[in-house]
Amino acid sequence: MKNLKSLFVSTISILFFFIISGCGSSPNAPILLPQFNPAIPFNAYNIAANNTTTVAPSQRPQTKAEFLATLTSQGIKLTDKQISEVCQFTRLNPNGQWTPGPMNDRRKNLEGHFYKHGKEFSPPPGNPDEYLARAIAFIKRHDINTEFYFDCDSYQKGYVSVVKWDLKTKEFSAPRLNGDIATYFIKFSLIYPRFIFVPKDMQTNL
Amino acid sequence: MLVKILSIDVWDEETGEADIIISVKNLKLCCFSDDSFDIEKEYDVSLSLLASSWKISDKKEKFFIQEPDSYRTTIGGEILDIQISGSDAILTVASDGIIIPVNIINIPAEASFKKEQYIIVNGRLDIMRGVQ
Repeated sequence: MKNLKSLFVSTISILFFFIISGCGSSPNAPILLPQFNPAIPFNAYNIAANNTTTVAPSQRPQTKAEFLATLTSQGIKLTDKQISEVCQFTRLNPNGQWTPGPMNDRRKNLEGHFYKHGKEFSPPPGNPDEYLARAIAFIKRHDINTEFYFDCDSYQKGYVSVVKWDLKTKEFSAPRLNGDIATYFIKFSLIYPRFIFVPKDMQTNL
Repeated sequence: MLVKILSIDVWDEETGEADIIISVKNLKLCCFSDDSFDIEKEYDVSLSLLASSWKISDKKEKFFIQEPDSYRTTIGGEILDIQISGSDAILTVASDGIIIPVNIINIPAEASFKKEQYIIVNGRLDIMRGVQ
């Protein structure tokens, strides 16, 4: 009876080993499992079919996979449509208008932002129209210093927002997918984890 | 820096841009932010001054002046530390009752800063969640 029990346990153990080692697909391949880091939610790991790829979150993602893993680590899971929207933000064409804002008045909202932020620029724009023109020019400009960041705060408020920032001039703008501009001012730094860098392989205009 | 949020005037709900009154080291200051805060709570924040204009001063003056109900701020103080990165500088300035990083963009090539110099800076007082 005791031998029978030992034989049963051994058989189950061998069967279990073969199941978890993925036998049959590649018997000579080493078994590589992603290293577990308790700081990273388990679903942030992207386990490829061959069990060899681990994508960890990063404060400055270099690939789309790293970008998505970073968002996942913050509890943000984008749909395919939202991922597509993130990419669209990087090739936006401004429509020449400011957002209507809380007063539902584009002109008043533009003037309010000009009044608040105009003095930050050097030289400062002389009037709201010049301020708007500079914001439009900034959104249109693409060079080595311009970067895009996913705004996690806006996502928590219920919408996808990708902001644009210039490393050198520190210009910062939040456009909308329809080409409206919601704000434009000088921001000295963008702090992680609120702002997540959008990597080059998601910037469809480059 | 630990600060207490006294009041928040969100002037653009969509972007979250707001004038925020804080209490820090017995000072009551108005700051700009587009980060989210709750009234009456304490936060560990980065407080900094984004310089619009500045000049080195011969007078050893320490003062902190805000326009009424505005985050537009003028400070005079002593430069304690200097960090230069490309054409940007972060000066740690000891002003009246507060030590604050001053962010300066596009410093001219001929400009030079030295520790223990005095400086007068005008700009926007910023508050951000997290460490700059």
